[in-house]
Amino acid sequence: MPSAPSLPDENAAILRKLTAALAEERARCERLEGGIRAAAEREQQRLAQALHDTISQSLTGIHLMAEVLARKHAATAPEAAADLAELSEIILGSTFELHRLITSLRPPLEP
Amino acid sequence: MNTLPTETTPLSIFLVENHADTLKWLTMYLEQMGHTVRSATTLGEAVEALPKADCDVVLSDIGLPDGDGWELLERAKLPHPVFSIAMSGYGTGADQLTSRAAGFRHHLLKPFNLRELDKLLAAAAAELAQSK
Repeated sequence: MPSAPSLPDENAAILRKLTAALAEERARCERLEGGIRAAAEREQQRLAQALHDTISQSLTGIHLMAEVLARKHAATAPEAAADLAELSEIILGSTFELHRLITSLRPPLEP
Repeated sequence: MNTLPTETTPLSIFLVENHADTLKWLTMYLEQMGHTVRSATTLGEAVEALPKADCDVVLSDIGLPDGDGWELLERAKLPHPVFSIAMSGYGTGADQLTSRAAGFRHHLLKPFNLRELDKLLAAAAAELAQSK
């Protein structure tokens, strides 16, 4: 089989330069991608923390309030207590939904 | 619907919770149940007050403004183990393992039904009765 013709020195130098430039550009793209991924993860974590510290905490408090009041008034005002218990369950369901979202946004804990 | 349980062993409970409404309603419930409640709203406050509280049960939130509740039992240096329950909005396996490793007997996922809390407090009371 005939060997491939060798490139003139000038062309080989250009090719080497282009190859080096391409490798540099590829490395720069990888660094950028890494930076974008890290920024997105930080933003997800910030959002998860904000949801946990605000809406989730409030819903937890409201759920507790409804459940405590439902129990407190079960004997004296059973209909109102039943409504409160139902409300408490609805809030509980919504809070679990929110927690699923928060967990999906939050990076896993280090073991 | 659940009503307030009529037979409850009164316990001395140290509650750590920084969310005002949760602290208020949880305290109200526990006191209605006949328990004595002392509370703290930060980790620093809890570390300071817990060793002097001589409580039967520690009920602590994990997300606190100045640290996490997982540090509490180690930093408070209690003279004897106390039945401790962690409360958190996060309940992954890793969260539960971390609570166990930090000395908490249970990891209660917020929001929780009061039935779940009742069960844990009944277990604490039973254990306390056995140890006496």
